[in-house]
Amino acid sequence: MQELPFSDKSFDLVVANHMLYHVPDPLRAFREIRRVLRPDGTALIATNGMGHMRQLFDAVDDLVGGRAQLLGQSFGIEVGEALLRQVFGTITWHSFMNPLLVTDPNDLLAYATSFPPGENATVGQRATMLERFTAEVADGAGGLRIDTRAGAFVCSGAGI
Amino acid sequence: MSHDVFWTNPSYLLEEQYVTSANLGNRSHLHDRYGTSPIPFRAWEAGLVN
Repeated sequence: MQELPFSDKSFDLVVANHMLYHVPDPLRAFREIRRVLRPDGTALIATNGMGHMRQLFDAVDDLVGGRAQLLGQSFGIEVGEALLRQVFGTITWHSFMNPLLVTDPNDLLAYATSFPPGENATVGQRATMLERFTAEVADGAGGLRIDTRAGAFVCSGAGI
Repeated sequence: MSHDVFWTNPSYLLEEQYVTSANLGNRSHLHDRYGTSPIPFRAWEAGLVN
């Protein structure tokens, strides 16, 4: 993303879905996106923010070790617009309302252990996490509600 | 790998996190199976530019 192998003004639309938080220098990536877009082109950039899936991350924080919820904040809702403003002239944020209602605690465990710090959980910690998810699913109305906080920036024009 | 830096570490991302589709698959499965929005994400997103 920081060096796109495309000529200037090649595309009408660039879509970056839930991946720019993997880029070491997001601003550099935005400049590349702007470069390959035609002048009237649009960038669609999806990401999430603080509090995203907090019920799941709370369990990881409590049982494995902290700060799972801080992951991925190099580019998220909170810092996104200020960064994008340096490259694009018009930026609008759109929230995607999609809370999860999870009925299988094994699916929660698979998610929670798919990246650090959860992926480093011991066998014992995984068992404890599954017990917690199982209890929370049983206590919930129709399952465990997981709040999400995600959406997309729609960006166009030239920035400052 | 410290979980403070893994998110933007290219070696970790290529050689561990995304060396197979399993991790991403586990995460996308949760959203696909249990999301309550009447509109799937990609359809919602397409509507932003149509």
